[in-house]
Amino acid sequence: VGKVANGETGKKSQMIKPDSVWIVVPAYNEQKVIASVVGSLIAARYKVVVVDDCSTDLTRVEVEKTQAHLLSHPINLGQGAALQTGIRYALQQGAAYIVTFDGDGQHLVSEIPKLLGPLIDGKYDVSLGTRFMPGGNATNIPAAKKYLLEIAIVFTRIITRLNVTDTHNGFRAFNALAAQRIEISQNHMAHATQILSEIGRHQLRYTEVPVQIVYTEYSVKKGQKMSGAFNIVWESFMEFLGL
Amino acid sequence: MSTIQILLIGATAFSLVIYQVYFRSLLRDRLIALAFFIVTVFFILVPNATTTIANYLGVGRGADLLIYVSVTAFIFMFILVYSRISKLERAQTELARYIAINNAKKGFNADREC
Repeated sequence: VGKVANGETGKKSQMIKPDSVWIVVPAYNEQKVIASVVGSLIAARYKVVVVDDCSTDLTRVEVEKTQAHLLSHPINLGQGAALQTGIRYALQQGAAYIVTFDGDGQHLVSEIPKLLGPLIDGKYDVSLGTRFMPGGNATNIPAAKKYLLEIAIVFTRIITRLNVTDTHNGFRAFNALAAQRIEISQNHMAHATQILSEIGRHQLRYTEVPVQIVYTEYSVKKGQKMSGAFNIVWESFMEFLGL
Repeated sequence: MSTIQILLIGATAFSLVIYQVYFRSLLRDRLIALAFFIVTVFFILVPNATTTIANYLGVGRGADLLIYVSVTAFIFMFILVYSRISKLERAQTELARYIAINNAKKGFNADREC
């Protein structure tokens, strides 16, 4: 496990029925971009569920203008909780494959088939997008953030015992089996580490796929604050203690 | 009785009353609180008793022993409260998730065959 999916998935990916693929988009205060992100997913004929995590802006109104399914948390719970809500809903709706996709426009719709390829081939249960493999890239990562990310990746490898090259980049695909097994109880940002731990715990077959992450001024502003790193370590530690 | 003893006993008695009146806890917990109150009042009235116990345990002064016991109790309470809050958060999350999924809105023509 843990090998790179090579570029031969192009042919197979044409066999994907887009309407068996559910894209779960967690959103919190994304009124400016959410409609265009969802619009491009719908245009590619995927099923889309947006989980609004009790936004204080007009995110819900924007989503209602689209053809996406909308779930609204009555209280703000965090991105991890939003993902779990969306995944459960997608499974109830009969999803065969589930992709998690950020609501701020930093992932590319055109790369979804690349993530799905290894799952449809039946070789893997989970594919994880990575910025740090040949073919992947991360444009405009601020230097300080890059340094912190390297530490975070080492931390993630130790905690999860998975030999991954990236962490916390939100672009992943699961088959239904993996989506059912993985239980995200970390409501906040530690969920990204938890998803990897769950992959290890359930011995799911996973692979990494190089992806492009687009750091726009908007997504950087909306993205994780660096102080979040401390919280992730804390939450993961408490999880480890079983608290 | 010195002033500090009166103040301490007053404060302890006040918290006991608050606990017994406002916290609808189990009889067992109420009895533990009462026992704790009696022990506390005893040590307030007979401060040297703590030193006797401290010496027996190999600690120099009763005041030092009290600090050790307090710190340990604080950590224990922290863990207890933290795990209680985590449990509540999990329940709250499940409830919010249930509400969200049951009120799912299908966007206009969401199920239309394109």
